[in-house]
Amino acid sequence: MKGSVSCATVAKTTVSGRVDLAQAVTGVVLALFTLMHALFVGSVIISPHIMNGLAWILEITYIENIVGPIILVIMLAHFLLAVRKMPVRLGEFSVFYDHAKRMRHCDTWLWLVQAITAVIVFVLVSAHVYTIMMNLPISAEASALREQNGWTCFYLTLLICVGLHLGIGLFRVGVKYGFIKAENRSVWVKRTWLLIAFYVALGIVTIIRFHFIAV
Amino acid sequence: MRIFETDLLCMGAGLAGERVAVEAAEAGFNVICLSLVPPKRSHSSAAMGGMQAALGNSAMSQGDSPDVHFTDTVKGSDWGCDQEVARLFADTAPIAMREMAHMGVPWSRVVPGVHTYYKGGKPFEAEELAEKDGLIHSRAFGGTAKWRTCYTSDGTGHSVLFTLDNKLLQLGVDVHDRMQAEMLIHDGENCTGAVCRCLRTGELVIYRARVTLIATGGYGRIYSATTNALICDGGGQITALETGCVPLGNMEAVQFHPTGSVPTDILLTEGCRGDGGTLLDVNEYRFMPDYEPEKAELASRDVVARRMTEHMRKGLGVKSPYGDHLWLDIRHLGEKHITTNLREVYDISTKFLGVNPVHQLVPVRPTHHYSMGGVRINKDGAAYGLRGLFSAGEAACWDMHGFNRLGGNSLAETVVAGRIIGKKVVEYLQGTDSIFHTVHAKDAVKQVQERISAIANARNGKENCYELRSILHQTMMENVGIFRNGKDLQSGVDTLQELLARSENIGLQGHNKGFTPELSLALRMRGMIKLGICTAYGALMRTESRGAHAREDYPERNDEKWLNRTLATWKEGDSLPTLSYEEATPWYEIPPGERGYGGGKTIAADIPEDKIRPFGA
Amino acid sequence: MGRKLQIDIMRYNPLDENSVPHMQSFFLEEYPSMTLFVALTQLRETQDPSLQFDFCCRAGICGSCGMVINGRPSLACSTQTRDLPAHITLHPLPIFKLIGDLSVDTGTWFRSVGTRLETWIHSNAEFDENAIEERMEDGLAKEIFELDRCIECGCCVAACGTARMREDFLGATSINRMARFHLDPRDNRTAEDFYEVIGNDQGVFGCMGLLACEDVCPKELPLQDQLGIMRRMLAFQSVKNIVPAFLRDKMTCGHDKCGHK
Repeated sequence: MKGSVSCATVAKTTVSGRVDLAQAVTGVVLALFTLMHALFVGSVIISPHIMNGLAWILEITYIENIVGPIILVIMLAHFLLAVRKMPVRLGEFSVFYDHAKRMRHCDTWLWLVQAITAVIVFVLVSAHVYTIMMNLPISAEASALREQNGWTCFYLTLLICVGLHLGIGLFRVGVKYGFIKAENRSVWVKRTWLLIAFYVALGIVTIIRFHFIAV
Repeated sequence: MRIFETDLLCMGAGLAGERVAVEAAEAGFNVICLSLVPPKRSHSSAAMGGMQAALGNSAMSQGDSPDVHFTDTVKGSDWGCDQEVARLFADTAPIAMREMAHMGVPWSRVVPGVHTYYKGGKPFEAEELAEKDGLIHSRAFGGTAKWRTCYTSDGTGHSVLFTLDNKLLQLGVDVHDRMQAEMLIHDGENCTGAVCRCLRTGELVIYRARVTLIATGGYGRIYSATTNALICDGGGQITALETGCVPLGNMEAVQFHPTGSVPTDILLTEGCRGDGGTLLDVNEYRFMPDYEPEKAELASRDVVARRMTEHMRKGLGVKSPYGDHLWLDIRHLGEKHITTNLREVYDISTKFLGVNPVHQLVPVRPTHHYSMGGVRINKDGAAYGLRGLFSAGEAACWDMHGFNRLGGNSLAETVVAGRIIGKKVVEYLQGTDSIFHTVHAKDAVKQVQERISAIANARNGKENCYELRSILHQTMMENVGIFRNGKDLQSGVDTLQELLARSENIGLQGHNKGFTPELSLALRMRGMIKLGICTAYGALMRTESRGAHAREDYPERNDEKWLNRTLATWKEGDSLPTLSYEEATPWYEIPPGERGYGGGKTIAADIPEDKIRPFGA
Repeated sequence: MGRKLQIDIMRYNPLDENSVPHMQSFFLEEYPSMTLFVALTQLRETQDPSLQFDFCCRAGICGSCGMVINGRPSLACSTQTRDLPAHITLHPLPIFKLIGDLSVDTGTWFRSVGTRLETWIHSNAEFDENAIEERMEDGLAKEIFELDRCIECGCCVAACGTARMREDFLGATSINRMARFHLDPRDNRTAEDFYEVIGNDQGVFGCMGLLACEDVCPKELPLQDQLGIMRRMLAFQSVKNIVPAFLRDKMTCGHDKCGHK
């Protein structure tokens, strides 16, 4: 019934809490991985040799073979856990959209951004990981070749979406678990945008650098 | 038509109604509460200051006792109260406060050590005792010898109401909100329920009950400038008055609060002055000590309100587009104190007046605030005139306030009277069987239906109820205000009688499909005018000044003639109430004497020896 | 001279079969210190007596007059027209059942939530008339009061994106209410008990942290902070049996009611 909340008893289970924690933990792990990843790839800015050196370490320690699939699995899990919160019917989406439009409330809009980037990131990352896994080992030259062969748009899109999703997501976890409070919220809002800006800027410079590597 | 049957029907789900409901429900009786609004929105929630009870925990309340509380209450009432009831109240209040703590009220507590408090704007230090650590704290309120007012920051009414309403949830008491009682069902001897109108759909609903309780609060909305909520339209008193056999007591006893804000009339709590706020005039001069050297701003409300009016009449008020006003100054209390202990005051000033009380003066003037009068009940809460009809809280005239109530005594009354009357209702329910006669219910429904149909179809005319209400408002403010005199009162009564005749011809201006808010007021209008007439006529007849009732033509308190209570009944078809009088109190623990503030002469009475009881025995 | 205000109001009378939801424009001269309470009352008394809306205390204390003002839920009585543009749009609060025009049934919603969550002190202690009251730290009393200040106006629920999509979501007000009882030592309920009622997607885990509840709350309650505290406490409750002991000790929230006294 509209206007009242159903009184159905809720099953005594720990599932909801664990699922919620798992969503947050997988999210944070993915974010940390992504940041490490950005620094790793970003090392090309200084010199392709550094990136190749790091890639060599990843290769001989088999980290790239192990971590790749694990991250893929975590991402899949994160997606499945988070999809519970997404608008499942078109009706829900349009209700939310109208709501956001009327409210003119930044955080409400950002959630829509979060939901949309989630889908884009999921598709693009899958493609990205597939290509990487098919073309091992990782090297600056291989990446540069992709950038110079028309993948720039693909990576720019991915970069911006990941940046937004990661920044907003970390902020959201902080809020939901009470680490970001009313008194320190404005500080964290600033930090979040700085993080997103840093990530995207680093990515753009990296992409530009790839264009100047001879292949 | 929906029909509900219950043991106890509580009309009103504010503090008094809910406290009685708790008592009956805990005794296993079926209870239904009616309310114009969701119960947590009742006007009790707006009472900010606190509840008086002689717990004696705080430093400034050392030596307090129910005896001292009783004395303050009697003096405050200007000896108009029923001393048996005032005694019952003062003795029970501490228990009732502890009981509310038990139910979950987060009372502010004593913190041991030396604290800085304010009195009359000057800071002083007092040491809270270690042995009182964590017990219920108290603050100062006007007209009291000790600091006795228990409080939860600035939201006492709110917290106690939420606690009681939660208790009702726990007890599974049915609350029917958006329900307006239109008429009591009775046969001239027994009251057996009420006919109500649903404010969602407009349909009529019958409630059959073994006990009907009127706990609908005051009737401040017959005045235009009142601190009362919009729902305080006297609905309960109207249904009682219109039975023709239930008298209303002391309707002329109407309290004006010294610090209603300008222009919104929202109440600024007495806590402001209790904590050390002062009143200033147009020259920013603190004038109250000139009138009341000892108590200054903390004399009883009637005295402060009159002194303020007197001062403004000397031309020392601040001129504004909304009329003259004075200033309330709490700046010296400091930002921290104002934004925590007086936060609601801070919120109201900034949001509704556009004034920041930390740095600026707040515009205030005396504003209608409280109705001491109401449905006359005995000490058990039973209404005169009808069996099975009870009343409690501001709706009733119990009568512990007499002609002036002290700040913090009314909010305390709700839970204290609720507790006492609740137990009496239970006793009554245990001792009676149901006596329902369908014929009376049918008759009442028919009457209400006919009235609705006449108004909805504009059968008797098309008088606009909003217009009538504004005439009522104006008349009450101008003729039955803080200072009264025979001439103005008489012309007020005349105007209101004319208005009463016009009210028979009210017709809706708007549509009549389903629920319409206009009809709610239209149905109330006749009764509200009658309440106005009871007030004005009672005031006209009472040729003395007592408490809040101040007659310029009879400035002295006349104990010889007027140590009594006005009872007003309204016979069907009359254009005036029938007034009769009863003795103010069955006996005196404190014979009439000086209040110690307010000045004024007294014509002494001879109190027979057998009416005097030893104090505190 | 005041501005001329245009107030667009959503009109709908569900009891009138000919009524369809539509916006109606009213025009009004603005006064100094005019609030929406003054404006709407004037409209009803001088222009359209059938206009439905709810006001009670008109002082921001009772919570009756929540409505959507230029897109955001807020209390109409404490909204000054001078803070709004000359063109004002008013809608009823969403989520709650519409009674008519701007009036919605918050009473039924809050009562059903209160019953479901059992928002009262759970205690077996009998009241003893002759005993002095149980002692309580004043700081704790103030903390409880802080959360008790909610006036159930429904603004936080109406502003919540989750509640808009999922109508069974309990909203910030309910979780704040539970936080109040969680804080109160007079309430015997353990973390497990709280988990049972709000440890689910209708409760704390449904919150997506959009912060609108806190941003619109007319009483400026720390709603999101309370959501965070409760969520952390209940999330811990769900894993306390599977995390290693040393972590468990680190994750305790420092409150004796977390089931590990």
